[in-house]
Amino acid sequence: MHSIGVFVKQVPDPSMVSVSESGTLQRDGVPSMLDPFGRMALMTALRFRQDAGGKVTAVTMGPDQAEEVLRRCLEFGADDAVLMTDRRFAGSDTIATSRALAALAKREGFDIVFCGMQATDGDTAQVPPELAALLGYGLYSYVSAIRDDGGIVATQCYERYEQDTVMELPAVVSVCRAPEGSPQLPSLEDRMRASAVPVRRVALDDIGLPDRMVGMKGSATRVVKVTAVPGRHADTVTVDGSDPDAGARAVLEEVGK
Amino acid sequence: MRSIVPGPESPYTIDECKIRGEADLVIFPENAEDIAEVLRDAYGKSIPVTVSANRTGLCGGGVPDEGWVMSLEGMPGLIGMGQDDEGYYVRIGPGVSVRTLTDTMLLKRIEGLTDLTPDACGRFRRDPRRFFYPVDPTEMDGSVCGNIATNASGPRTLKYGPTRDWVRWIRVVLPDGRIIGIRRGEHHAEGRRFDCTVDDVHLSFDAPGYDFNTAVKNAAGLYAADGMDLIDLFIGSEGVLGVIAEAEVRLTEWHPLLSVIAFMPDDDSALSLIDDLRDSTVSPEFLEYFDCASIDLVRRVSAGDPTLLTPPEGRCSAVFLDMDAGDGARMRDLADIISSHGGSPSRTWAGSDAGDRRRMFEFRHCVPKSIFDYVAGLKEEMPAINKMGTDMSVPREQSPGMMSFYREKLEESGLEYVIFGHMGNFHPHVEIILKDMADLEKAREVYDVFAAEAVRRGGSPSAEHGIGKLKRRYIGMMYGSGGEEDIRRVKRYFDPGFILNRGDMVA
Amino acid sequence: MSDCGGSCSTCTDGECRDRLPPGMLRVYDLDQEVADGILVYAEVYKADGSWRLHPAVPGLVGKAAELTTGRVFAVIFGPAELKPLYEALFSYGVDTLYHMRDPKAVYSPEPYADASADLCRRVLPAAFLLPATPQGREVAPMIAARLDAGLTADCTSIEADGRTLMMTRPALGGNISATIAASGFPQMATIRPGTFPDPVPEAGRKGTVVSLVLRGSGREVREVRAVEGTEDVSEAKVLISLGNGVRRRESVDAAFRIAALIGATVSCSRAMADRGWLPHSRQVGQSGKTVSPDLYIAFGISGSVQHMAGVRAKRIVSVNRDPDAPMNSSADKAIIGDADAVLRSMLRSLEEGLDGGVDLS
Repeated sequence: MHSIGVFVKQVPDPSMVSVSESGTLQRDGVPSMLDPFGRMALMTALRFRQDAGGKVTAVTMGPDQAEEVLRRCLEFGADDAVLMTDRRFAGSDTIATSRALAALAKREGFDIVFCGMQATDGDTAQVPPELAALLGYGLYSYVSAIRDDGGIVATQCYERYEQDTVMELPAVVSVCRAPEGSPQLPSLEDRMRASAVPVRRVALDDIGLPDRMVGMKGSATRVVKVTAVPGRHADTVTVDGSDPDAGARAVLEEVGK
Repeated sequence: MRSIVPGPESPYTIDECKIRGEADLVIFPENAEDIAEVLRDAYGKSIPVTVSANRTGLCGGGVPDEGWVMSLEGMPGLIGMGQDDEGYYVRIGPGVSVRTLTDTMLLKRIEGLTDLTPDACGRFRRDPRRFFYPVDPTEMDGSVCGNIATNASGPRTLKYGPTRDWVRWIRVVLPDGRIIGIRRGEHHAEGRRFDCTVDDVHLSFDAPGYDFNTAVKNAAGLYAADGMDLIDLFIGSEGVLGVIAEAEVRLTEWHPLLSVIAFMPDDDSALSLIDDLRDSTVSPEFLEYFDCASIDLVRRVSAGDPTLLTPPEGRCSAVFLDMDAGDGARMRDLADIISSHGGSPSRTWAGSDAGDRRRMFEFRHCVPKSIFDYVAGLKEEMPAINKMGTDMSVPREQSPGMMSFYREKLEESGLEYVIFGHMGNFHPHVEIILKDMADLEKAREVYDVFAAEAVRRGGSPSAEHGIGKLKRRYIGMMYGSGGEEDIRRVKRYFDPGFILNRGDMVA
Repeated sequence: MSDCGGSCSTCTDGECRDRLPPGMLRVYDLDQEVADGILVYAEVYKADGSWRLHPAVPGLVGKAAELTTGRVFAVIFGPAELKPLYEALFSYGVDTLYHMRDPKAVYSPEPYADASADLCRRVLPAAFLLPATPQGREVAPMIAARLDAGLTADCTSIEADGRTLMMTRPALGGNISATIAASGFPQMATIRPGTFPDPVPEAGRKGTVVSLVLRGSGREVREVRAVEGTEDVSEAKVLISLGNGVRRRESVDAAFRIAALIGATVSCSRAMADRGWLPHSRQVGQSGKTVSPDLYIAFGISGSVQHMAGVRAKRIVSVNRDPDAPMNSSADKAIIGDADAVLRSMLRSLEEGLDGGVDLS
């Protein structure tokens, strides 16, 4: 029986975020969603449970509303969910976040932890390696598939090559693709089962870390300033491409053909 | 005022029925006074004017036979916001689509809107609840004013009613260029007789004598009833009496929704499931039916498109519904009802996440869209071919009989078909998959037989697509020649020269 | 032995003294009085049988030389066959090169991170810069965790104030740029490839090489496969970029054939990479690569802020059914039409043009 952790993140729905005329990002009222990479991690964890057995616990750190993404993980089939919420977590950079997550992973006794290879809001991709380093677990990054082949074999995608690596547990796995045949949507059955599962709430004191290890105090970086970047401005020429040949001509004249 | 001469492939002389019309000029008014000027000018020169906005109509209402096209796409969109005893409302012009209205209101992105009542925008923004415009005509890119002119409905009519129920005020430019504002509740007929003064314009005429069928979903002909509100004559009039230049529509409180697609073993189990759900504690917002052939169609399309949801393996039909997401008891009731008709909660999709629901609606849209694309492909070889889909509703007790009638006649004719759509309102779409021109002929015959049968059973031959130019013959079928003449009489009262949207509804 | 297996930095004698995650108690901060110079992670790869520097490395070395008044260090991992690369590194500005001898020549994050962290303790650099490649992005956070160092990911600009660095990175999908400082030394950053220009090499420039043996074993790797399409989208002058609006699989083949005919490279949006129709290495955007072509032709790409963060094109042409797609307002030319159909028509027209109408398919 594996104790399987999945760390996910709540992010604003990118299709609903827009840029105002003045170039500022409009996030007000934008619905949030389970980060797509976190979803891939969840699907990989569920597949791992199916093949190797165990219990899947979804974890996120954030305010009360972040419970929504945990509900979603439960609806897709996670067994348990933990919301790490505490005002003292606020302002954590990646290392401070990783400390809190690592402490929780220890407390829960995860022997394998799945994360998205990055999150679509921050895109730092730093949490999985930091988590592995802090926990002393093996790190398997950019995993696109896991299979049992006389040991657990992970396919990892690097820039110019991919490799099949034999995984040793305990491990942190960062995932870059959902397994083939992952559920497209939660089923009514899963959703009913999920509605009976409570989301556990965990605060800083529960994971036994001192204040100075998390939040702003525990961060090794600080944001000095933030400036808005103006979007690309163009005087757009619009071409009717309802006739594909006319559209094709309009593209080809750009390359002198 | 900007105007252009349309070319042979101009987007302004065609709509979603894909029949190409002809016009000498396309004019783009930017406000109600511009519209009045165009109409006065046209009147003086006896030139017919066809009005269009986003050209999403399905019956050629916005397709000109001759004369000018007046495109309202350059008119204002979102204008202002107000609040009264019944809640918030929005003032809009023809330039806004249903999608933009809905998204703007849900996200409360109302910068730049005027307060129609003191601090309405501020109160709306600060209100912890969220609001939306609940009419969902499926085609979200249509103009809201166009929706009002056609009294658009859609799947959610089951819960919220058609567009008519959400309109509180309209500003109409009459064919002679006079502009009137009609507020709901201010001008009623005595019996059928209107005798009233609206913004200094005296109106004195009789509404049509027939009773507009409101027992079923119906978009055929002018609204008519004893003591009716003047606003209802214009809503759904397909623009033959005047041009809606501005309107106020109501919003309602939004709540999180759960979308459900239950896959069922065969056509009849899906139909009986819908029958059971209609009055159940589940309280669905709409109930959509897909027969097994529709699901097969989706399966073929989604096989080549990974962004689409793929139906489960094996032959199956499906029922699609939206319900309140917050209620666990309803979810259990739903699961029980699905199981009692041979379905299973594990073969039922349930999505409340915005992205999931978007994909489920794409799944639904996949059926008409793939037929549409198929026909568009056929058009290259057979330019005269058209999509043949029914749009007929019948009263509840007639629904099973009508469904058997559809199947029987289609099997007899040997045509290939799929049946899907708004079974919650007893309003399925029968889409005939044409292979050649001979099929088209057969389909036209069958179609007329269906229309007559729907009327015979107390239903409407045009439940939501309207009459436009393509379905004029249904007016006589429904109301007889007397009723048709009544419509013509009202039309003549407002537009003696028949210059406005000539050829729509009545000729 | 405790759970950590003795590998973590809180273990003094192979025993974790408490149940706290390792790395949390002893804050390791290099002496800010002493630390100086900048260390660069010189990533290498093997192609066609020979070892090469990652194209991001020269720019990084050049920038390091510009930022520091102290020494420029570099660390390189691999077998003895890397020797021919020394000269290039010196010519770009490296003063001292640490060659971690890895005879197996298999990259593995843990031993590479251990060795890099040890090297930092030894040379005390004020800053440690790595390329924001998959390898750099994997190993940098592990090193940062070992050193409790502040790490800024994916920087697009760096400025120095004495030995203190100000690192700027795009945030919130590229609409905001955040300037970040580390609170201790070494200050770590990964840098987006292509951010800094290659320096002019100084031929014959000399430096010192220190060879060390890489300790610790890597993992068992069963098989390594080269990934198809090693073309670098960030170098391309013309890009044909495919997005979610491309619905037909044939269109991907069509795009490659068109690209071959007009001298372009094929890239994509995240949606397309997630579908698995194109590899992530061709993905443009905040979570992919930054491209700066002369011409960027976007087929069915909506143009989310995340995608646009990676597009620095001189000219943009968009083909999209949706006239309201944000890409259309960023584009110099917006063609409102179906991406699949336009691609098909382009291919037909190009192939007909090739040889008097002979169909090459």
